[in-house]
Amino acid sequence: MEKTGSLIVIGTGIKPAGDITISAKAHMIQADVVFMVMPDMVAKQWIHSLHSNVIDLSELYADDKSRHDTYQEMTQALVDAVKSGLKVCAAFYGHPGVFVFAGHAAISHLKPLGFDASMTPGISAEDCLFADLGLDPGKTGCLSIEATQFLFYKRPFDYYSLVILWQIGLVGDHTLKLSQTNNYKKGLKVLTQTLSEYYPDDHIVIIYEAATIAILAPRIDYITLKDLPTADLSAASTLVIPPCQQASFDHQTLSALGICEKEIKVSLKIN
Amino acid sequence: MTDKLVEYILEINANPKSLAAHVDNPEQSAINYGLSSEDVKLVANEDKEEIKKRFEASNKSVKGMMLALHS
Repeated sequence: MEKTGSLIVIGTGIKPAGDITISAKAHMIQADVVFMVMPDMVAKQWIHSLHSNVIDLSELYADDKSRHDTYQEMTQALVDAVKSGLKVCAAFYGHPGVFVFAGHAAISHLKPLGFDASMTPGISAEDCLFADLGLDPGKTGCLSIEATQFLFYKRPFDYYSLVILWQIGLVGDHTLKLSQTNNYKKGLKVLTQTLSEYYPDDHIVIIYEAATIAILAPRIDYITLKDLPTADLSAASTLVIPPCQQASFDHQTLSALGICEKEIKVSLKIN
Repeated sequence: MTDKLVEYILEINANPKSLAAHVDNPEQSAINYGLSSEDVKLVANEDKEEIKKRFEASNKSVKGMMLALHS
């Protein structure tokens, strides 16, 4: 018997109405039901203006409830709707595959069961960051990682890359239960100590928050690393760390490739 | 959609010409769009916190934010 239900997971971008792709908007309008997670009333009202059957998954959040449980419930809501035969659109702000558990989880659950389930990309906060700060991740490479994950695990740290640490307003939290970004001071202090092993205290870092409304500018605060522990952060705060030194050439590998440092510098027009 | 200020923000988010008019003169742009005097004031003052409060967009709140579950 043919499975009639389907799931399309879309991203609405960071600025509602302005960032969504043409196909993502069409997916939303053509669905039987739209499940949404949006960060504010502007985005929510905009979604309601596009579809008459909208379910707000952010109502599943609750005080003292693990985000892990909330995201599992979001997943289940999407799966149940598809299994009931509906053409479902799950709309998340930003990119629906970046820092979004439920979209990936619902697709992974539904596809093996024979349902049509897929994702279409959206503009993420990282995309806005590169544009607003004028930084190209291709220039030095880019390490992009959630701040608490960066702290909790031992792993090689490539400080020659542009480094982007997400969710610094929650850094150090292991409970996944915070409802406010009000408990980051200790984590921020430890993070600063860790970063001080690689960067000088006067190294300029950036606290960035993308603008969700075009009439408000993005937050772009340049501060020294030593001032980071006193920064006022929100759930949308991201720490951006430009590299403070250039990586040296790997002459052994260059030799294996039959090229030398000078030839590369000539090609790249660098000294 | 009932909130005229939301309509105004969505228009500016989506239309570069409207954004340019807003950047050039926020107060006149808001008046021309037909916003209430209260909302014209809000837009003209560019009070980030007040505007966020108006739209329940407190970035201090984790609710509604999609946050990563690190492995």
